[in-house]
Amino acid sequence: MVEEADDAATIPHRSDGITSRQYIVYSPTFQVPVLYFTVHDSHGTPLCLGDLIQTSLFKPDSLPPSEITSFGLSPESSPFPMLSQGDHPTLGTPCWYLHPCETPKAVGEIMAEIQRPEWTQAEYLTQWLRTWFAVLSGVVDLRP
Amino acid sequence: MSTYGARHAPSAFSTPASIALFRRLTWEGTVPLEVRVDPKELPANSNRGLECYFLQAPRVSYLPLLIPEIRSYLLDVVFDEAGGRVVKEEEWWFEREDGGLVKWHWPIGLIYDTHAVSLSASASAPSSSSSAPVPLKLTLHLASPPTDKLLLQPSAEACKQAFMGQLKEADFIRWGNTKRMTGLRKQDQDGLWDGIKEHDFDAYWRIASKITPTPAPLSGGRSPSPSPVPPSSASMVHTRPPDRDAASAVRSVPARIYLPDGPVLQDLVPPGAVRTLGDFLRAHLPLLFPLDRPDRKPLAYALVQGVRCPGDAEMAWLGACMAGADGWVNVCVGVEGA
Repeated sequence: MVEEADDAATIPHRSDGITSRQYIVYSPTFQVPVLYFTVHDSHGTPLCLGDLIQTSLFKPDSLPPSEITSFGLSPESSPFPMLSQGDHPTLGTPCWYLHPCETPKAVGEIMAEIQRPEWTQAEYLTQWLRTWFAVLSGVVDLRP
Repeated sequence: MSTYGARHAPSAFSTPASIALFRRLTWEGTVPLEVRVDPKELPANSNRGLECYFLQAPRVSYLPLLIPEIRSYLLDVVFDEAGGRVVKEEEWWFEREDGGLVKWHWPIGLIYDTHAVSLSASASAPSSSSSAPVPLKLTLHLASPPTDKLLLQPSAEACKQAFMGQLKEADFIRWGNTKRMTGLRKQDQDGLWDGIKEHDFDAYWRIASKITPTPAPLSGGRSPSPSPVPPSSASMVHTRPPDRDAASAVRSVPARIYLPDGPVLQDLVPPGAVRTLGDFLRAHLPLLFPLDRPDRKPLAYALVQGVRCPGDAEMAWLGACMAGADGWVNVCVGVEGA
């Protein structure tokens, strides 16, 4: 099984002075990794959603046309939000997270194309995780 | 002469009448709350000494839904006109007696039960056989919510979104997909939340019965299936013939374990391996719920909707009859007194 990994990265942005913490946590419900993150300004105040998606954490124009409220981002095509707030599964602190229900399908499609029969279980899982990062980076920019 | 073959008697707890009864009992459960405004934050000229509001709150409801009621009281009785005008509900937040922050997106029953079990683990735990439930004392702060520790804005809309998210997760855990939730019309999805807002059992369950499994009428581990949906053109998207769902077992029961002051435990537990609450607790906490202690006092107990549940309660039944309105069976583990 894919192992749970907690990864906290602080990215100070020189001009705006914002801090982002990012965590990759295994969702016990959906059984896939999920990106949880927080974004604060230099005073420690969390950014509102409208400002958050303008930061360099998100790739410009990568988000679908969506309704944005103070507490969530919901694509017009979907009844459910893509980005909303929730408790970090192990820390219990409030974070934003990208909803993972589309993840297995997106990653599965790519894996079906690239999978090789001679892979060991470990190789398969590593490649799954690489593919997951690739899918994620369609929306989120994780480069330092 | 006819003889009756050996047959399991239908479990008394799984008749439609019994299911409806326990769902109703769960829905009507309430807990006492004592909400006191932080005296340091009262606007000038407030009626000091009266800033405490007592209410019996539904377990399945949420704090943001109680705010209008609390606000009305404060405006009528405590604040003067000027005070009432400066009050901003979006800055309100709740703190427990022990200084802990209240997660306003948790069902009220869960907030109460987690508090109760955290008391059980403290040195000054009251005797477990106290008769009347003790009010949960909450301090209402009117400003400066600690935004690093609390979700932004305890608005009813944000709470609704969190609630929908929990329902979707519960759906996924049961069936491996969220088709039943996404298959509901927007009107029905909103109707679930409206049912909670209005505290209307029938309005809520009219829709929830489309997505919640019912336990099988015969005892003996038959797979739960959703209760039959009355034929209606509106529900064609997600109506399934009951036998198709009976054939494929519910994958798992959405359940979480809350330890006193501890983390929230959640793991996928297949129904085959875990049938009863006892199995479930032993799988996660074998030291607290050991199998072979017949002659010794139990170390811990489990609360579901405030009720101490026996170990032989079936998880599938709990999931169908005593889950919260968000679909989850929240098991709060408390420590038995010495």
